Amino acid sequence: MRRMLIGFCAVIFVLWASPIVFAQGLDAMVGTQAQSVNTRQLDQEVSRLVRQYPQIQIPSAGTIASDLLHHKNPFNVPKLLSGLGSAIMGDLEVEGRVLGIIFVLSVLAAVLGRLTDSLGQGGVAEISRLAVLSLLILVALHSFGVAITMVTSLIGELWHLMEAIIPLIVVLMAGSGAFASAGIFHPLMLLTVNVVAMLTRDWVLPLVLMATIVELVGHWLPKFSLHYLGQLLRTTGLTLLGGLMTLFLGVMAVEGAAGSVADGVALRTGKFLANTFVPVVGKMFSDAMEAVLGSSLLLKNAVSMVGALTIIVVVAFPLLKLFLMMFLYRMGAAATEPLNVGGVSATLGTMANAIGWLMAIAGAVALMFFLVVTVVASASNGVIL
Amino acid sequence: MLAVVGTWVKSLVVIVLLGNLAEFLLPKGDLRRYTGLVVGLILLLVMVSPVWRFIQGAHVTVIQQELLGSGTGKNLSAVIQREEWNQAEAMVLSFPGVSSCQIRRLPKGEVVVRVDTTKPINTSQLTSYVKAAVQMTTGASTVAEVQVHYHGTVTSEATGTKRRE
Repeated sequence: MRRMLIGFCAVIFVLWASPIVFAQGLDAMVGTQAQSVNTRQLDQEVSRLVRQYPQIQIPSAGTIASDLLHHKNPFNVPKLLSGLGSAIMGDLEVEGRVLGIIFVLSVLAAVLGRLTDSLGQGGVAEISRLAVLSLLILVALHSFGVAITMVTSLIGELWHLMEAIIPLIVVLMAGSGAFASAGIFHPLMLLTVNVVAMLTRDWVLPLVLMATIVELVGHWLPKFSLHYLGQLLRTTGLTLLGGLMTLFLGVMAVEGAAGSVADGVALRTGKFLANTFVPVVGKMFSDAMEAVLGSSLLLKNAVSMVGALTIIVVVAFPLLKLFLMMFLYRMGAAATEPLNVGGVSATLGTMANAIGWLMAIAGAVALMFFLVVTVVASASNGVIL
Repeated sequence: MLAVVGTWVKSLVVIVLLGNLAEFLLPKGDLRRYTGLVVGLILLLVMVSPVWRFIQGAHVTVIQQELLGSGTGKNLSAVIQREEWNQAEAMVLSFPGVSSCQIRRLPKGEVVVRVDTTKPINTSQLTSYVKAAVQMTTGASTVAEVQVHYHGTVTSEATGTKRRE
């Protein structure tokens, strides 16, 4: 009777205690790890970057981890889309004004040209065309300067973000058992990020800027045109960027595969040894190890998710603005062509091309950083099975 | 590097602007045609000049290194000898009780070794050690004298190797 009572009590206790202990255990473990790993710097950096877009909030790594654990969606996508929509409206207003100025200028140039034609003096028409075109180029160069400043600061911001996030990811990677991956990726990621950001900021962007200026001068003063010099400069810059990207992708792919295989072998060996040779508590020990590694894996994925979200948010707005600018310049080129003022539509077309190249550069850099954060994080996910 | 490219492009653009200005200002006629030709030639020259300067610069630095480099020709043997002496000094310094060691050259090509010690040392043992070190590093036994200094007392031992040879 007494024995039965004790057995009953034990069964009740187990039924009562186990699910709660389990749930609290994983939650608490993730929480403890989120506190012990110092994510404050990352959170500061992220909030500093996202402050320009007050309607968007990026949750912290700990929040994302617990949301993922409870199968919730940590990020509000519709909010991002509505933010993008309102940004489109604002940009359209600003850039539309610039386009309006350009239209007025080209209509003025056309009227002046017809007037001087009827007066019968060729030189005056040329001078008036030159005056209007120089005004137009001033306006266009101003907006191009805005665009290039935007791209430069975007690359700088992404650079800072990566330098805040890479040490954190590497620590968590090592914490989830991927020692070889962490060892391989740490110098590799820092090197790649620094080389890509520095070369893009100091070489590719200035080369594209110079190419644009040379081509604009060529449209402005058609005599002694330097069109092919501009093409040479631009091709140099973009080839540099393409080479960087190829190198980056190749290195990442190879190192990712090598690291995760080595990690898998090392970790399974450790588990097997613990299971086999530690007599009584071996199984328990290896299970506990797996739980700790799993929670660290969750946190690592949360951190890389924070990084990826921030990159998306920080890049989406400038890219959208650049795209709008490019579209409006293309529209201007199409609309001013029938007025038949020499050089106006060619200038607008060149501007549209240049902004398109800026967009490509910013997109390529952002894509590379995005891959660093996501692919590298998922490369070491296959370790625990 | 990029600054060089920048100034290059800038000077090209300035020349284009000035050429266009000249085209506007000059009257129609032969002068205008020739001006166009001259401006075109100047543009070509400026465009090619960095390449030319680069080749010239490379040429000049190569010749300078051949003629005046510190580690070439006659200077090379001096460098090697200095290096050998440094090694010999380092070896002597590894002897217990030796605090400093200096190798000096005599006009005849022999060397004098001055050794400072922190405690009284068996001089003949030290002398043979020094001789062996110099022999090993320079390949020739050219030690004329070994001076051992200890708190002001000088024990000098002239080696007989050279004289015997």
